[in-house]
Amino acid sequence: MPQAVSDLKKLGQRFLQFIQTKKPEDFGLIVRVESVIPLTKDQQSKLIKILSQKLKTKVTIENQVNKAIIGGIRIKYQDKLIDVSIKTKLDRLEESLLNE
Amino acid sequence: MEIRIGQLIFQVVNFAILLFLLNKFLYRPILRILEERAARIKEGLEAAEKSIAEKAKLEEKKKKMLVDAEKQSNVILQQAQDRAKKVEKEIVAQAKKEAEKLVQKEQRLLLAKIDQDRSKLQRQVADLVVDTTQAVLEKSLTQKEQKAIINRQIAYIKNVKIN
Repeated sequence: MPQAVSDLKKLGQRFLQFIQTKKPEDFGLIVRVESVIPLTKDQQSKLIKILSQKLKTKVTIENQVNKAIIGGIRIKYQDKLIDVSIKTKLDRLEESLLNE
Repeated sequence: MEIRIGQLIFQVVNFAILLFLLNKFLYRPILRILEERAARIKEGLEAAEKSIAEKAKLEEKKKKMLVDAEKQSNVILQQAQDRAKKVEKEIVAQAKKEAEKLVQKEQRLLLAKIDQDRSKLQRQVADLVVDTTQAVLEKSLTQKEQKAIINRQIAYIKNVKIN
């Protein structure tokens, strides 16, 4: 058991060393995707593929569950926002009703 | 009949003296008085004529003055009437302008109130629609439907241009 703990510590240290040697760009562009339910692996991989092609860079997805968006997804990267959530659509509907 | 020269001469001398005295003390004063009287009458007549002429002249002048005064009064009256009409028009125009302003102000207030009420109603309707839809969607969307929505949106993102 102590051996296992020691091995785990070593593994942790090596992992930290590995992380420290990496530059931010090695992880690609971090894209935060909000959804009401967690994205499936299939959905994540599809999104990575689409976004990588469109943004012409390696993309890493961070999925955050947010019940407030009601449905759909909200994508944030750098200072950009792709918001196709149902919450935003309802907000736009409300705005258009007010401006009629 | 015997003519006595001396007596005749005496009578002639007496008669001459009488003529002289009559002429000096009677005829001449009377003639002078008559002439003076005639002159006074003439002067009186002339003065009367002059007075009549003056009076006529004064009458003419008075008539002329009356005509002038009437003309002048007519002009003043006309001017006063014109001015009164002008003032009346100005007052009416001013009143009309004030009334129009008042109406416009009331219209603006009314329109603003209508606009405010409409905005309030719109907000209430919008809130009702959105809140109801949101509440229904939050409760009714199943996991499967959520997943399907996400899949549709991924497909949508694939077809839109992003940078």
